[in-house]
Amino acid sequence: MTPLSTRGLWLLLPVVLVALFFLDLSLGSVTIPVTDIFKVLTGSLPSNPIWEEIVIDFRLTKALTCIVAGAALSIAGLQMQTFFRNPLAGPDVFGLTSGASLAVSLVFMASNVGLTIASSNPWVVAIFASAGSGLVAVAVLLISKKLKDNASLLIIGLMIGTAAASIVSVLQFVSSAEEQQLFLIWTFGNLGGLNWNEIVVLAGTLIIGSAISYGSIKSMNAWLLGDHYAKSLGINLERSRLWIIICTSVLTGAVTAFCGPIVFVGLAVPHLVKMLVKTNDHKILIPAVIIFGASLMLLCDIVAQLPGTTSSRVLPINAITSLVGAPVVVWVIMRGRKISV
Amino acid sequence: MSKDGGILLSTNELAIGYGKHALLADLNLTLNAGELVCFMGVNGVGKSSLIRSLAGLQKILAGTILYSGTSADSDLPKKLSVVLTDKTGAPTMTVYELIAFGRYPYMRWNVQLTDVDKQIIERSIEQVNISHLRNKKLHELSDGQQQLAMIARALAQDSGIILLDEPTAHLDLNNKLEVMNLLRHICRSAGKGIIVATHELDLALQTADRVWLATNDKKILTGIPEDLVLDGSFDKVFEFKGYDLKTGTVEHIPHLNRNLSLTANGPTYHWTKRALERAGYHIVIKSDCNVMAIENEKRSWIVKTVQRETSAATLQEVLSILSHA
Repeated sequence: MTPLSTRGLWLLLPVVLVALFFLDLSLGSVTIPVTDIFKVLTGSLPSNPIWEEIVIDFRLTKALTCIVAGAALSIAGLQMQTFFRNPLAGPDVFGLTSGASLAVSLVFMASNVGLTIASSNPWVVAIFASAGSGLVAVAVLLISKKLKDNASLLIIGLMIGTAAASIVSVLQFVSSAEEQQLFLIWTFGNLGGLNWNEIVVLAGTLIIGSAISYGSIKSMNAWLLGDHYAKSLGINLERSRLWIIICTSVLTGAVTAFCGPIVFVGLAVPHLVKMLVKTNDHKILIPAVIIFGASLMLLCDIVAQLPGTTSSRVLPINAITSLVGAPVVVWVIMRGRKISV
Repeated sequence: MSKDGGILLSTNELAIGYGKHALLADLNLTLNAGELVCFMGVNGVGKSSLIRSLAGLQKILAGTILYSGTSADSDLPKKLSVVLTDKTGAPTMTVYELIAFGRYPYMRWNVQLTDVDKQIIERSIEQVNISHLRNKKLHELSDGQQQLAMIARALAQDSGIILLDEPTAHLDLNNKLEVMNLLRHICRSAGKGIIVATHELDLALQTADRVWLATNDKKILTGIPEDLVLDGSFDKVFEFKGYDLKTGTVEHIPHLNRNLSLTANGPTYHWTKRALERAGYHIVIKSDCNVMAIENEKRSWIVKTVQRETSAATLQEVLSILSHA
């Protein structure tokens, strides 16, 4: 890749991100002029005082959640694809989100199996979701030590996911309709439900996760050559494995905890970024997937709101991430580009 | 990197294998600077395992390995590099990116190439003579080119020892020769010690300074190739079926039960004899049936039997005349 195209990309990506950010802020069931949004953001009073509340407490929180969640899931996806050297890997494909779903379904529906967990507290949900995805990550890791070949590992990830999903079904079967609905709504994904405290926590997780990820660029790059070569180049496989597993579970767990199981972004973004930057160097890939993932999530949120301009209905974000992401990936493959990790 | 012929690698009572099952045991091996060792043995004898064990990638079962006199430590990647049979991960990686991995043992966490690193990468690319491939992606390369790129990566690691596992597998004859000649040249010019695990006898016999030969009783015999040929070690290990290593030919049974005498010289004699023996004739000193080669500006043969004399322009014709005689 020539230096010019790199520079062009680093100019273009942030511009796209900022543009989508403001577009996302300006959309909603209440029409607010862009000038007034700027006024709110710069701290001055908009023409209508209620708009301040809408922009700060609803739209800004949601737009920031999009950015943080999109970035976090994209890093997690990139790490998993590199880690397993498998282009189909992603936080959701390997059952991490299924683990989180199972843990969260326990929170909502545990009373039916004789447990009481304070489901009203969002932090309980968050902690359970992190623990759920963490346990699945450890299970996948332990199995991956036994199995050298990626296809088997992928199947095992799917099996873990399926097993978790069937336990969730059992729980649903014994749950009341209300509890089921709470859980079902959670599975749709929700980017708008976070208050400022929660956003700070999520953003903190992203910063820690990105730092771990960026600190692992050397080992992640070396993994592309396979375990033996990585070790022969002086990479401490056990230690870097552990870091990546922790990092991925924390990022996926936190996003899943606060926003529900957001699918597809973690799988699609690394591929789309690799089409753009044409490098395998994680030093470039990590910042690129952060910006690209954040942008794609904003775009999905914008699409989700399109029906909302005429009514107050907003589409579930998970439907949109797949609807937007899947055709893009299909299109990319149809153009004959080689998909790679 | 020393050019004084010092010992780069030595093992003491080394045993390798998996779990409790030793593939090779009681190994006391040495590798000297400037030496190309071909490590040979039948398939499944543990060639790859020994390479991985020597590279510190696989747990050893017993004994010790010393690298320039010290045991394996965090500096091992600066002393030893490997070219394995493992598939490398990213088909979209460029040759330059691949070779740059050789500098990883010298880089900090942020993988920033210094000017020195870049110089060494350039030198490796030149040594292997693949500067025309530097921006190619790995999936665009032929098997031979990929192997050369992997060797360049190992060279960029700037280690005294290079271990290669079957570097000539899947290559055609020309590429095989190119790879082996390159390795020999690197040994001589840079004073490196190179171990090549291979099952390709011809190639190894002609290029190796020394051979490590894995025997069927889990030992490794060492010696220069010619000694091992003449004392029959290779025959014992490989249990050749109809191949005579000492003459380098495949043995043919003269199933036609017909004697021929042959009059020819040099290469013509050699290849005519091969054709006749392969067809099942027995070449003897005196016979009433004679094949004579005539070396004018155009080579031809005369087949003389009791009844008549026939001339032939090709060996194929010779065989056809004989079969009708």
